[in-house]
Amino acid sequence: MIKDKHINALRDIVGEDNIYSDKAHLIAYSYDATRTKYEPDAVVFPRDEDDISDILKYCNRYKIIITPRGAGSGFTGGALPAHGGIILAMEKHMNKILEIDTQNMVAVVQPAVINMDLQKEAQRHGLFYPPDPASEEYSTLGGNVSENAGGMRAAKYGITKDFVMALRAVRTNGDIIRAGKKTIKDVAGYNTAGILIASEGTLAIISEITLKLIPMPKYKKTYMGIFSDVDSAMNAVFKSLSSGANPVAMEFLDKLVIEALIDKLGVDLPKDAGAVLVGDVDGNVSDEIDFQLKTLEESFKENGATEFRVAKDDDEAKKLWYARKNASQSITIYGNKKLNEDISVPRSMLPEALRNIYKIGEKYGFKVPCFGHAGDGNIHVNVMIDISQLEEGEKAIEEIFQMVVDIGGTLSGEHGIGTSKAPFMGIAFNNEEMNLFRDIKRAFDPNNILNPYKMGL
Amino acid sequence: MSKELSEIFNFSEITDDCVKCGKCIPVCTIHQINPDEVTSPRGFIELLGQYQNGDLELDKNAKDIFESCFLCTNCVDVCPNSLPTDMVIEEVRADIADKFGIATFKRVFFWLLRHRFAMDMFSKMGYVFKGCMLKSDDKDRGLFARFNLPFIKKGRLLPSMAFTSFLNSHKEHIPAKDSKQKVAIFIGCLGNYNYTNIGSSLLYILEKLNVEVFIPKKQLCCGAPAYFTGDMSSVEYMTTKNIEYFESFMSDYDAMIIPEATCSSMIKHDWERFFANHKMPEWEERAKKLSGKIFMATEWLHSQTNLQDMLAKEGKNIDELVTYHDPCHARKTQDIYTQPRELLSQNYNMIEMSDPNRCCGFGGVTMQTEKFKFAKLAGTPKASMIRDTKASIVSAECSACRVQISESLNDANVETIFKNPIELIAQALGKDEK
Ligand SMILES: Cc1cc2nc3c(=O)[nH]c(=O)nc-3n(C[C@H](O)[C@H](O)[C@H](O)COP(=O)(O)OP(=O)(O)OC[C@H]3O[C@@H](n4cnc5c(N)ncnc54)[C@H](O)[C@@H]3O)c2cc1C
Ligand code: SF4
Ligand code: SF4
Repeated sequence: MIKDKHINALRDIVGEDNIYSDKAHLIAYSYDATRTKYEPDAVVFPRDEDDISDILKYCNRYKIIITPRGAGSGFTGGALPAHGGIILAMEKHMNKILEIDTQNMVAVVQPAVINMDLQKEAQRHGLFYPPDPASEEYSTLGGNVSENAGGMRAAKYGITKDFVMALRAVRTNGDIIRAGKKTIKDVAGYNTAGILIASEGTLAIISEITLKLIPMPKYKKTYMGIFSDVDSAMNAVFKSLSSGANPVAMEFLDKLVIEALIDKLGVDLPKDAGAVLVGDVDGNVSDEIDFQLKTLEESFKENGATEFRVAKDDDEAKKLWYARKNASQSITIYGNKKLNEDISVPRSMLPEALRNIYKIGEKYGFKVPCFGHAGDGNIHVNVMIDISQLEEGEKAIEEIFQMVVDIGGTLSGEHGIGTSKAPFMGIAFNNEEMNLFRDIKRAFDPNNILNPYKMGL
Repeated sequence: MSKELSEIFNFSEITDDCVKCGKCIPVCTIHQINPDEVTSPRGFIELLGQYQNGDLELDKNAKDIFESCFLCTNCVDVCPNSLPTDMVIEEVRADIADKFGIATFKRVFFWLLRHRFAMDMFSKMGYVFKGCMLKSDDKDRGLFARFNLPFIKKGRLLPSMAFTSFLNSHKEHIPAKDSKQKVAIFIGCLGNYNYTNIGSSLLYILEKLNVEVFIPKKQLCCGAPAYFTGDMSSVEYMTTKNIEYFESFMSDYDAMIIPEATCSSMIKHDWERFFANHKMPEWEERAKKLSGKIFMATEWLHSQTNLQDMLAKEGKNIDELVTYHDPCHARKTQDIYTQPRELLSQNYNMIEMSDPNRCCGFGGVTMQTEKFKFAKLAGTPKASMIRDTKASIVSAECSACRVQISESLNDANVETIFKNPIELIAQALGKDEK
């Protein structure tokens, strides 16, 4: 528990209406999308960068733990106040789009702007912000940067880090730093922004973000390929990419997911389908779209696709996407609890990774439906268990992690490490690497007050 | 008086189903104006679970928090599990009412709603004496408060009261020549006392369509205002009295039509839900039986009559630009939004505002009085998106929206006036504007 005197001092900084320690606030800021709960000692809403600086300075002096929080949609506990202290909640004041600069094609935003609000504002200017985590309608850009969030469009456009041009951030000593520039080329100094991206609020508080925008492509079409097994689907992926297709998204569903979609939601897919690939292609001239679709169709058919569908209009596109968007919901038929992980492997290893995952599932007697981003090797692995089998389930997960690292992959493609995956950091990184992380953490935060002990640090 | 933990509504069941994804937060009306997790659907749901566990006391602070929800159901609409945040808030408001009592002015108001005759007298007095407290608006949108009344600040625009209510202005039975269809009308309190032109417009349309009409004179308030405020004994009184009364004649009628989104949503959906939550299975069954015949007015006119063709014959005969606002209790809870648009677009030029589905911010009796600052904040974006359309008329089949939107437009100095679609349709069919 932090002392009343500290709460009073923080109140002097942010004002009466921007700090709370009543039970209701402690409850409401105790959780995120992991559904684990730890109550903080107080919730503070900074009004601007200067407030953040003053708060950090004060907390640093008295070693008060700070957990920054965006929308609390994180899947790995990054925003959980696991060791008490204060929640620094950005949602109340730091939520403005400051500038859409159409000449340099960049947006300058405060950290709590919702991803979709930026996408919409950019679109109003004919511009496009591609990173689209499935939580795009509610997660914040500060959270996206801190977790390096990615989405389906990653196959063509990349992930959050590919769009961060510059950051402003506040260090624990109160210093306000600028990392990066609006310029396309920038080689002066260390790439500090690069270190802050995906740092999960452990190094500094991000107070402003400059993001790259691109022109909005004029045309978009949705396609779907149906295959008898995952291997032929993946061969089709390799073949089409090497033949020059550059789809915006290339999502796969495995056999178990397809069966669940048919059983639970009556989705129109053949019962004997072993894998589905679905995605969009986009471009600025219609010839380009035709070329993309033709390349995909040829590569798919060459590799045994039994069907290739293209949506004629928006309605049909929605129907094709429905299967992928409801994958997560449909698989609940396999167990009342889902342990889901978002591992990432080199694209070429995807079929082998899936085979190994199924083997591990069989060994423990669990169904493990998988879906995800075939274009970039990011797989959503869902170990479906009964709530009573939690311990066994976790063992299976650990085995899956070990296997993934063995074949050159990593623990998380999107969701980060936080508290949930912290115990597995030792599998992915050796002692020397972990020590470097700790040194970096110490350089930014010598008193270990910013989101301490997260990420296994 | 505090409830024993065992007597509390089973909130945890819903709390346990919340996966804490946060999807409901950006669409939440109160969170948009007070971006704080405690006033968000996910926050409410968690707080209610903790209240049931005994970890959160239902104190003044908690009361303020639970009273801040607008019951707009935006959250229910987007939640992957369709969790009924509005319903659990209504339930906890009953506990709040038990513990803190209901403010006297609201008790008087609900008592009046229970007792039609007294309300009629009160409204007459209100009509006569309104000049003392309220002054008319020159655009006939309503009345302005002349000075501060309890919970109502000077300068607010309020709906004016009609001298004679709708129910007291017309015969109970209005036959039609060789008609094939017979409907009963449920008018709603605002339509009965304040915006009486809606009812007379509805009668005008039904006459043109040759529909036989029954105006059940003993209808009481649907109970929505009391339900939203947690006055469950008033809800029980009004729902059961109404059901007994409706059952006495509904077998003779094809439908009960309601030109009000909130009343219709309440009768069609929330009555059943209320009885289910309060373990009154017999009444639940009776409410369910009735609900099949409950329709919003535009919904029934659109699907069961040839009104659309009749309007099409008139062509675009009225030179006004109309923008349609979707009442939460029409679009979100009843999926009704195409029908009024299709009917209106026969005779009027229509333009969509940027976010017709955004809640107007009415929020109920408590929000309009003690928590009016929130209602005001929620109303501002609606007024500006209406201004941007340059429409001369904004329409919505809901008089609660009318109270709130008229006030917001007035605050923002926007000239656009509000009409129920039923009034506009009648006007297109030749009814005098008044
Ligand atoms: C249904 C669902 C689907 C999802 N799909 C995806 C997906 O497809 N791809 C994906 O990548 N993720 C996905 N996520 C995970 C999550 O939405 C992302 O990690 C997102 O980036 C988190 O943003 P947030 O605003 O909720 O951040 P929070 O959860 O509030 O915080 C995340 C981390 O960022 C830190 N942080 C937040 N703001 C700041 C700041 N200003 N300065 C410093 N640190 C800060 C926090 O301390 C924490 O460590 C999904 C989540 C859900 C619930
Ligand atoms: S009903 Fe409306 S105001 Fe209430 S929690 Fe849901 S979205 Fe928010
Ligand atoms: S959308 Fe539904 S499940 Fe998600 S946080 Fe809101 S109430 Fe909970």
